[in-house]
Amino acid sequence: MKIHWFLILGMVMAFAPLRAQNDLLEMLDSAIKPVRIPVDATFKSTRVINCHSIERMRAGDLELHVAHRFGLMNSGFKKFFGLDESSSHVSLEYGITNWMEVGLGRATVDEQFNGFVKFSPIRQMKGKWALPVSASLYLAAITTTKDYPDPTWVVDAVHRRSFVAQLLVARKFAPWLSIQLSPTFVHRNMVATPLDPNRIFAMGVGGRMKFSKRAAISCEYFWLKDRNQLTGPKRYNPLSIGLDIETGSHVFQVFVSNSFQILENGFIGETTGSWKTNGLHVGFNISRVFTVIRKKK
Amino acid sequence: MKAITVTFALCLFFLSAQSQDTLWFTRTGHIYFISHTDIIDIDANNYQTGSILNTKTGEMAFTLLMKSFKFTLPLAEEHFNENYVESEKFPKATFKGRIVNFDPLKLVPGVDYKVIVEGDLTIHGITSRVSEEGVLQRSGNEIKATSRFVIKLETYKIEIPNIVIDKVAKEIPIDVKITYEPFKKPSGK
Repeated sequence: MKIHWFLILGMVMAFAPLRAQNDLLEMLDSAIKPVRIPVDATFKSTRVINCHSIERMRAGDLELHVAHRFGLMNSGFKKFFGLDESSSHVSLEYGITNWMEVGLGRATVDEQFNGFVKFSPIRQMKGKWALPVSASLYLAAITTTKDYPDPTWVVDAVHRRSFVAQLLVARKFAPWLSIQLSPTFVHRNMVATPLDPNRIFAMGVGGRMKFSKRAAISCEYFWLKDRNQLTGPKRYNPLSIGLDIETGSHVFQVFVSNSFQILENGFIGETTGSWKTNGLHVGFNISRVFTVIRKKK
Repeated sequence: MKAITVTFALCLFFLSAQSQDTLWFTRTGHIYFISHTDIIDIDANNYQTGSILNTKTGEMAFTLLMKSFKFTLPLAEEHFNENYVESEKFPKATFKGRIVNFDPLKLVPGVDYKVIVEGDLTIHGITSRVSEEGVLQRSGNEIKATSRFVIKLETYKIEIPNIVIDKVAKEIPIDVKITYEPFKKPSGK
């Protein structure tokens, strides 16, 4: 029996220092259940370039978004390589909740007003059973206020409108790499000829590669399903390549794109520039965020 | 055989008794910080701070997820995680240390016990030796711990770009409020 006593004493003595060594931090880690962490800042801005990104204004934040596209770079010295001409779009976009954003804007091309709502219910998470992607639904209505070429035309106001529906799905693969797919429907109530389809389907793919904490290279491409059915000048798939720079509450995006128009009905349906013939435009977006309503402490 | 059983039971009792009596724990500790400048105040709360206190040895440990800081300004939260503390690279901040000259007998209910805590504070992947003041107070079946101390961003290599240098304070006061409860071993697993 004495042997057993010693054995047990030995065990206790062996055990005791083990317990004492038990690191408090390790103990904490094992006592705290792992949580799912949201993956933020998939994109710096609410736009990839032309296309909306899955990012949105959070509750109480207001974005002033200014977009600008210069004329054709291949228009020569006479037009100062496109800098004489421009199209622009100014909008205010506000986060009602963290998952719902609304916006109102004005574009110079065709004197268009636009309004949109962006729902962002799905956010990418990290952890067990976490969602691997972020997704937003972007719904927009666009109306032109431009006079018709012939003032004797009597056309219902409804024909001035276009509608956009986009499903935006993005994943931040790494802190430096995010990729977004953007299947898009554009519906135009009035088209140039009876041969033109009212509805255009386009598949967008875009992404950004960060090369420093505050700068990234961005790229965006849209494939149009029925591009050749559109009458008038030849249409091209819009391709844009640019640079994102973030400075505190501003985000600047500078890029080269073959599209001149800024709203979805324009850059998806009316892109007539070609990368092959240098039919390109320099453009920039400036985003400034104001916190209108502060969360209570 | 009887002796073995008895001893074994005694050992278990002793071990469990020790851990329950001297270990205090929370997973809902509160940490608040503010960056105060003339231009803008940026502040955040973290209510998911984990902490453990050993009232036998005076050892303490803290852990928190940087992403659990909730900011008053949503955009500041994104910048904090993305640009300043790089939460994806360094998800946690931790502290491990002990109360200097800890005397368990001073932990009397209803009386403030002023302590100095020394240890290693790790933020943004950088560990720094710190020594800060705090107060412990026991009441009923809980121990409250509070502390206010200041950290320098420089110490933890948190860089502020020139363009926002006026908007971010170089020294950040931090408030810690913890309510410990007796530690129970997590069941299951």
